[in-house]
Amino acid sequence: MKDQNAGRRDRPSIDARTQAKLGEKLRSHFNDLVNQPIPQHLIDLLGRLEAGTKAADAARQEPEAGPQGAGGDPKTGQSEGNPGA
Amino acid sequence: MNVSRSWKPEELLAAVPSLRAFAISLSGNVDRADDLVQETLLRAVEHQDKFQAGTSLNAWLFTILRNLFHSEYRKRRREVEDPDNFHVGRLASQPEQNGYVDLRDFQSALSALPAEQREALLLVGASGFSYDEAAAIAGCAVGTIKSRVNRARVRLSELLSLNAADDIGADATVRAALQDAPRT
Repeated sequence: MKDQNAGRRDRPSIDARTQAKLGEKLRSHFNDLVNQPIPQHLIDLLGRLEAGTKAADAARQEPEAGPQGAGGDPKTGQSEGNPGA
Repeated sequence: MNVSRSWKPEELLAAVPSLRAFAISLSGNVDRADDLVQETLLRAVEHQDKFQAGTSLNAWLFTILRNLFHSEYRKRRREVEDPDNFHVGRLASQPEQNGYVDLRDFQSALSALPAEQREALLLVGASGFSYDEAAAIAGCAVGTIKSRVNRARVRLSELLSLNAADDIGADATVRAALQDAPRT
């Protein structure tokens, strides 16, 4: 059982050429996906989000827009880094 | 954190194609990927006050999406993964039959990797993030990302029979002799 990676213990590796071929395939796969058209329902969603954000911005920019006013309210940031967690 | 908007609308739109490519490659399922992208966009807008201006919007969106994916993945863990159940065949308009087949084969191989390795490889090898950025997105140490990427490359090149011996037209016997270690 010869092991050319014996010096690297549990870190087997692949040679540079194989890695280059693999990288090329991976990027080509990914780029094919990137170039897919965005589904209409996501475009529609972005449009609705944009409209909602504009409305929210307008509300926040009103000088006397209630408790949140121009000063904002820093304590609403609940310091949990990842909303998706 | 109050008045000014966290990003320009076109920035969100511009981020979607690579975010979606990441979601499809990660989940191996277009419908699920689109659900993930949709949920990510909704959460991004909902929590935009937590986005730090000047940092990468892309990295932030990828972080949200991968967290969604993994929390969902844990819930679905008991489901048996069926390699024939990938919906990549639904991908629109792949005119050349070969490209179509290659895409499926590559995705099948990718989907055979453990999710954490797949994620690391996609972040570093396809999405253009540095090891540091990928580690921040995946919430682990840089060394862990490097190790995952390395293991993903080794496994994927085996699955795709990409070893260098294939290039010199070696027959099966020679190839077997050139194998550096038994595959188990």
